[in-house]
Amino acid sequence: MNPLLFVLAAAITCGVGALAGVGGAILLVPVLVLTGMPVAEAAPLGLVSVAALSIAAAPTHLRYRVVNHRLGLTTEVAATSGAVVGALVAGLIPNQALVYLLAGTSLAAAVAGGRRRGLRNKPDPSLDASAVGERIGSLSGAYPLGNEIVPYRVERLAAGLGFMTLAGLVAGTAGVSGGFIKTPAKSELMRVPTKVAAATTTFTIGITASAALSVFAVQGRIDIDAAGAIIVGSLLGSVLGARFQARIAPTVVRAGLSALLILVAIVLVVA
Amino acid sequence: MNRVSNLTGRYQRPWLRAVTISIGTLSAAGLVVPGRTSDILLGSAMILLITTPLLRVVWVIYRVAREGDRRFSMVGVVLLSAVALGVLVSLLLRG
Repeated sequence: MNPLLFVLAAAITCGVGALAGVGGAILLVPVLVLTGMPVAEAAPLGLVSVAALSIAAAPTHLRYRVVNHRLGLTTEVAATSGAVVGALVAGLIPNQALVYLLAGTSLAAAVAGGRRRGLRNKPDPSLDASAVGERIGSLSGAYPLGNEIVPYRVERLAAGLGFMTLAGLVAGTAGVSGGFIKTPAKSELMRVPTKVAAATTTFTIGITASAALSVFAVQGRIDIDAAGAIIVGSLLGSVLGARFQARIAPTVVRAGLSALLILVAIVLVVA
Repeated sequence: MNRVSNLTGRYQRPWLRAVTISIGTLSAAGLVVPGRTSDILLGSAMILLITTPLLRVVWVIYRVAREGDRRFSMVGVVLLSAVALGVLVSLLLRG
């Protein structure tokens, strides 16, 4: 495939992914597979895109103090273990099985994106700006919402870690970020506010991708020329997508992306 | 409620911006420059891309340890050990 086409594919998929807040690999990997690339070759390129997005988006999330690093480290032990195991066994799984896994993953992402809810944790008027941030020795914290401060506590950690392991396994085998599992699991199951869950997930998907890419690098499975083009496209797409995000209603974007993911899943199975 | 952590991202933000620009520049240059130089540029971009998230974890472990939060600094060490174990196993399987 021409490097310019890689740049274009990564820019478009990451742009759309950044608009919807799910990253680009969930679209990029199926697109690469549909061009005839085996999943085992497309997966490392998907993770290259994930790592690029995680690094590029970090300064913005850190500025608003919505990343909970302690929660990220804790959940990432499970996700990284899953990703490493996934990356180690991915080469042993038949391509057709990985295609079905990818199609199932796309459908799951479509459902998870379409189900995302609004505000659950309520602001606490007694708190001021000095309360914003994570708490020492615990997974709880507080984040700013407009002029108010919203405290939160993490619940059902064990069940959450189970979903993080699953997200890691999917990332290691299929090359997608697993963010579409991690963010809803943190938000819906562990009761972390969506804003904190999404920002913390952006921090952790970089670690998951890094762990799996380290294994792929040792196995010699990263096409360095294609990876370079994917990085350029992913960075461009992430910046453009984030810029347009404010102009389009999130519900419209998420509905559009869900429809697109369902279409991708159908094409993957039929093609 | 426990004390608020001073892990604000103040130190991470500037170097993450610099790394993003470096990775993008190295990759773009690697795509247009021919031959061995291209491999070096793209290889450097990949090394930066893979190591940056792990360096962030190292930084967080350091800051969390400085706050006296031994439990979460140990969680970070376990996380890095899991990554190291994965690389070690893949090296053993390859060799």
